[in-house]
Amino acid sequence: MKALLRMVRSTDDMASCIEVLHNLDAYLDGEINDQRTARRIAAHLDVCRRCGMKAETIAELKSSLRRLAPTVDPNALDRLRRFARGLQSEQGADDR
Amino acid sequence: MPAICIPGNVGASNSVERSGLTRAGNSQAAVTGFVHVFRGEMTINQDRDRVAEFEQHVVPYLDILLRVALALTRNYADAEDLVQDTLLRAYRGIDRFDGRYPRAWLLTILRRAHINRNRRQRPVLVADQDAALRELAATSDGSDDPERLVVANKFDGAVADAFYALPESFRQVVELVDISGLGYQEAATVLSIPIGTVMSRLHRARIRMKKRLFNDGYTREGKR
Repeated sequence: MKALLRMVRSTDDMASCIEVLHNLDAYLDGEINDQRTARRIAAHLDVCRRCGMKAETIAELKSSLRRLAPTVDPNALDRLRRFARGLQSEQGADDR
Repeated sequence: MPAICIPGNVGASNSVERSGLTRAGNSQAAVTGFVHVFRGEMTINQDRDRVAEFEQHVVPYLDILLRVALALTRNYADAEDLVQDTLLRAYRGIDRFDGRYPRAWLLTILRRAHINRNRRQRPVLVADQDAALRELAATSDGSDDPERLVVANKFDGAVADAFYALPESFRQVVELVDISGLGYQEAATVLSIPIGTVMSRLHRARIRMKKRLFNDGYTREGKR
């Protein structure tokens, strides 16, 4: 009950804790297309410590996972670029 | 001399008709020639357009295509082959592409190419993609797994452990969204699953990773 009372309630300018928790993944993934909803969530995260911590944890997790991204082999990219250009130049040769 | 006149008339008539036909024929030939020239020009113009569109809509996405191909194949050589296959299909199909959302279009092509390659390699149709991907992952010995890089940072190491401990179906969604940077819809396209499934798997995967990090003392917040 105390936890419920601590929850930030929804207003026109600010989302409630429940709304934020429901949309937190999508918000942090940049998947909230409605600007008003995004602004209301941002306003909530500025003032609610509990939700702010949750958001921070997910954001840190995302940053860390991003660093796991494999380094794309530049030679492989070069080969693919050549392959792509090859397709185009073959067409060019056909034109001539 | 009707006998002579008639043929003459006929001849004249034929001649007129022939000349008419000839004119029509010439005219037709001219039209046909024009059409050929026109079509030729159109073909050349279309081909030029195709090259330009390919350059504009496909080449800039080579990097992300290779990353996603790596996530699907878990092998550099296979990933490169898959992207080449995708490029070929994209080049052939670019006439039918409306120019909107090129990344999503390319990812759809990559996905189909990946499924077709699996079908070619395996005689049985791939009914359960997750099972197929689990199998693909299991057949990899890990030595060429691009994600298994040395992670110096302790937190990053713990996150990597939590990530690799995920079930394959969760791990793939995290890999596409958090590591490769795809949107929900793009990940859904690549994995041929509904967008809602992407969202729920991502959410559940994050809960699992957070719990593990919390239990290992890396975060203060481990629940939902």
